[in-house]
Amino acid sequence: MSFKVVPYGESAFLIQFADEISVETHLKVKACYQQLKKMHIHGVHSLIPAYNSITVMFHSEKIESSTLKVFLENTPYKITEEELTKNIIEIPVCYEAPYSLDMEYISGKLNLSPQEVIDLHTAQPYLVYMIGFAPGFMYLGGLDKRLHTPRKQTPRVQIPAGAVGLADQQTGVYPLVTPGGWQIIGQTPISLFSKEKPSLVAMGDYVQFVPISVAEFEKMKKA
Amino acid sequence: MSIEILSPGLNTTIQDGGRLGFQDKGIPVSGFMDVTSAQLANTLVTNELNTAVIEMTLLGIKFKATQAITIAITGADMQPKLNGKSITMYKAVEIPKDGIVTFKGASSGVYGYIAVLGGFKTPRVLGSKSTYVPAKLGGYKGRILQKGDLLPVLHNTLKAIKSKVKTPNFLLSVELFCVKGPEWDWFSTESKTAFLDTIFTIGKDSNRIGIRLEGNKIVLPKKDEIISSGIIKGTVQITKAGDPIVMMADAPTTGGYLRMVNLTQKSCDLLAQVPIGGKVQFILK
Repeated sequence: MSFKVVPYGESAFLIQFADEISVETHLKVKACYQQLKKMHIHGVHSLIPAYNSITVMFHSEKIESSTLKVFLENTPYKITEEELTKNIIEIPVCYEAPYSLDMEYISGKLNLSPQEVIDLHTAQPYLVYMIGFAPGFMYLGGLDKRLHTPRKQTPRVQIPAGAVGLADQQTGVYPLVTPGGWQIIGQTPISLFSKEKPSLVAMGDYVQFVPISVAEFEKMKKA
Repeated sequence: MSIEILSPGLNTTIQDGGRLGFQDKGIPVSGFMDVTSAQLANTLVTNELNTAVIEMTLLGIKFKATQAITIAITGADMQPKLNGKSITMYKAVEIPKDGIVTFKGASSGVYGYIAVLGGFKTPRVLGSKSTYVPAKLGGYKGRILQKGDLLPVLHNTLKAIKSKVKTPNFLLSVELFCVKGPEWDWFSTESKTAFLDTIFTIGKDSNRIGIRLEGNKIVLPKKDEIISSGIIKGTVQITKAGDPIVMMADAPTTGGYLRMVNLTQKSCDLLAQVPIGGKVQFILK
């Protein structure tokens, strides 16, 4: 497995894999991240797995950085059955008004009926490459080319929590109320981020969007 | 036992050593902006270093102690007074029952800290009492303090340290020590030299997320972004416009701008106390 360990400030290392976004690199990152989590290295307090890197944060008073570096460089990381297992998490999404703010625009822009947009968006599960940027925000891979859409010219001041959007080659869900420039095609009634469950989904999982009606949305929201 | 907020100041929050271990879920670390000052305040009242404290920003609070408490005030000088009489900073002081403590705007520094002997009895959320406002985590109801809030204080019979420690001098112009960041080598020799030679000004949109710097634009290499990767406190990113942003306590966990250098922890503390308009220069260690 090819990676290098480079210093990142005084109390972190960056494990860098191939400079690419690919399923192959993702599986290596995932295997390495899982191994590091299991090892509970004394002094290492947080890990940030990303597309092709892992940031390893440590308490410099608890572990010598040169010791940790050698350790990270020499720890064997293997892709096991565990990494290859597809853990699919279903996320219900209402693609109807009033939750599909930009559906009409998208449908016109992409020359697809709203039903075709829904069918394409729910056709296959998406790989969660990483969680980052904001609490519980998933970077999903595998959006159908026919759904690639530019962001809004002017971002909305407020996007509701759970809004499902499209932006360029990406699709995703806003976990919190935030400003944002994504084209909103639906909304999930379930919470992707809460104190009790900081993230419903982990990096390496797969997410399958499942269409629901407005009535189902409201019922689930109340539950 | 509690502290009653009579006037909330500006962006006043509860902060501790930070919410570690949840960065793989996209949760920022948060915690003290100026670690040195906050830990010093805790030390003065015999608290563990990373105990939760009140962090004030530029404008201080007014509070009433419902019972006698022992506090220590450090960081930005907001001219604290107890019932109208000046309080010595950087020293443990006793506040009697019903004592009213007031602060003004900061005459030097940005972030002021109040540690209470025993600490605050606010809930620990995901391992930390730090407030992260966007996700309503930790602190007092996950938000900025408001008038009327009653912050419960843990009772503690320990005695505070009697001595006063030296008051630091927060300057309007500082040198920041840094080490090469992950993408340092991507920049041209000219860009690196320009970066180290420039005296940057602290921009107005600076906050707990990041400190924006204005000055000479840094010329970016052709490949001007990275595949989203980890961000830590002290990472200096160069935006596509060529401006450096120093990522601070509430920084997002990942980002795509080039990471040119990383500040040392001490320099992060120093930078946190430089107000908007202040000057900084980077020194490569």
